[in-house]
Amino acid sequence: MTRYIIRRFLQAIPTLLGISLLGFTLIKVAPGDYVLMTTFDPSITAEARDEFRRQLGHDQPIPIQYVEWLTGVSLRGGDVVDAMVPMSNSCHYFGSLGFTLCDRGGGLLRWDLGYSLATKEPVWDMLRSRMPASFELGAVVLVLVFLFGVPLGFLSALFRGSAKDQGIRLLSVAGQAVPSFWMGLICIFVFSVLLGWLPVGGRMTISLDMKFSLVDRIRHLILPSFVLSLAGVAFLTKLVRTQVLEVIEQDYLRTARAKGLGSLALWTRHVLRNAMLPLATVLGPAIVGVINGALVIETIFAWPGMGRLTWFSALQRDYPMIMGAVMFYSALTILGYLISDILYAVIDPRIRLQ
Amino acid sequence: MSKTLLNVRDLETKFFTQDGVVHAVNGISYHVDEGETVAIVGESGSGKSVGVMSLIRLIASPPGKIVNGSVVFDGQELMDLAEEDLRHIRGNRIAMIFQDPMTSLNPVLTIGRQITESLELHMSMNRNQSRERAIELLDLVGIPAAASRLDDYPHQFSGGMRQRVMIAMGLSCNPQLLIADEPTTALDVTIQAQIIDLVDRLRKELGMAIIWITHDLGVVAGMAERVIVMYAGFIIEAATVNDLYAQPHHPYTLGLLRSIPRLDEAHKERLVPIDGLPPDLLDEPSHCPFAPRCEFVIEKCWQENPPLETVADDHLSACWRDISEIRLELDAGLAGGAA
Repeated sequence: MTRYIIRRFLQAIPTLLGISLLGFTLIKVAPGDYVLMTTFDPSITAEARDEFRRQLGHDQPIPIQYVEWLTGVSLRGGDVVDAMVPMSNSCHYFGSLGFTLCDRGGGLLRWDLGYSLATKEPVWDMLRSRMPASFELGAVVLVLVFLFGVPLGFLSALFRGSAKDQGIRLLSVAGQAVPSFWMGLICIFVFSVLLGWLPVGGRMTISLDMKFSLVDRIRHLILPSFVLSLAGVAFLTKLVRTQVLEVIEQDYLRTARAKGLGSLALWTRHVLRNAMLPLATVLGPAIVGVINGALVIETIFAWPGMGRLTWFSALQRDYPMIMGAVMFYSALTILGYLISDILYAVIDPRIRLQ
Repeated sequence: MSKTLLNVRDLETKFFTQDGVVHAVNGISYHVDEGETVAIVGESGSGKSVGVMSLIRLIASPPGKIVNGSVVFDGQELMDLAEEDLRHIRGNRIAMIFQDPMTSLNPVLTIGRQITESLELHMSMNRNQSRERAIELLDLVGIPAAASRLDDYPHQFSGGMRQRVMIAMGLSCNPQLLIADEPTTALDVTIQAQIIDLVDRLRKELGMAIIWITHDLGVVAGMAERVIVMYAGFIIEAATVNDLYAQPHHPYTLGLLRSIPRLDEAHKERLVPIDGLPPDLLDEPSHCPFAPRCEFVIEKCWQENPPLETVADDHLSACWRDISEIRLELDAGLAGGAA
């Protein structure tokens, strides 16, 4: 088991490197750049913008920029000192080859995601400051998804073919089909604008004393968590329904009935455990999906989480910030799948990790 | 004369499917005495399994439904029992073991748990008592180092060992009747013999009655006292083992016996298969169900389904033809074939 986990962690390294290369390239080839996005002032000349880009190193070819981001080492043609290098003695000029290598410091390989271009704060600190809001929303959504998805799936299977089952299935198809941004806007319009029951967005009411109020927090959570959990509940309902229907067809359930077990023991001991097996495989990705999927919902509901941060960084082309978020989400995804696999081995005795 | 343990009258089970009504069991009647082994033989789809599962109402409903019949077990009518009361009989006084031991055990529960759950349920044992009893049972069915295997999962056992576990589960509450639904079909021949010996030995030790379902007449010969032959949901012949093998009365039974190889036959004859396929159970049976495949069919067979009638002592058969005529025809046919 331990060896398996270690191996999985080692396997994650090339995966993450690949993701970083792909992500970096995609952002760089996207139209517009940070300098253009932040210098709208018409009095700024094209030369000034170019100078700005040169100082940031954004005039360099993409591979060189990638290596800089990854290792913190910059490469420039000729005998020049990189503007971003903190100390002049960390540069070395290779005269015979005609280029200069400078150590800017930082870089992913040195466990440093760098600084946000927009705020000049460390990327990691910015991510960390948004985590509580994201995890709060994510945890509530996850609880809602399992709280409603599992029982609804069970009910649907239990009353298969009946009006109840048809109703649940219809709702679950609708839940998966309706886009969350649309649902979010409709909910805001109905419950906040028309009825005025719930706040339009944000994580708490802004007041002078900023006192913590649980009721206030919950009121802010209701709409975004509802909208965000909709697709998950729908998905899980369908999954559980299919699983239960499959399990009750199995021979071992006939054996259990032939033993004279009551329906409680039959359903909890024999059906539930077998039907839950595939849930272990979706739990890890579900955790990740909830946090990743919050990007749109956080933006609509002005939720101060990582999703919204990522969204605005992307609009601004704040490269280090976007890359930081991408790397964090990727690591989380890999971790999520690993947790799933371990969980699966724990519940299903037939599976041994090696 | 031993006491009748189980008395089945006019049992009729149908499945109401999208394609129509499947007439799985069409009014069968038989009885099982205490401590007796009765074999039910027939091809796949002849209603053997549905027939016995109907006894303790294990038919999935819908689509299945027991439409008619009476099952009296130890003086008690099972068809009128509430589900709750029937549960106290299932697994307790009537136990069942199934065909495929690879799929009939729950893969995520230890075999210990699967045995102890019926002990806790029916015998009101606590955890320690039931575990001890489970070890005893595994020992009884010949699983080596039983105590250490209690916490193993089904996938850690071979097919034959799993069937032993199934048998241990079946025997756990000392049932009066054990229904074995083709328990050896999925196993190797050598393992089959072991399982048959085991069940037969346990029957003698524990004094329970057995209904043994099989499509293998060879298996029947060794262990059963009486044989019931089923075809298309009907009992078409019922007799003691010796009578059935020596003097089969129904052309179908005759056909079955002619299609099995025998070691004790002096001259080796060609095996004779029964032509054709079993009938579609979706059709309402109005004539003799075997008529389309029968070599000895007469006009009457197509008009009316023959009732099961006594043809000799302890011997029932459902055929319009007289067995002596059939034998004459058969001999003539064989002579002609040889000439």
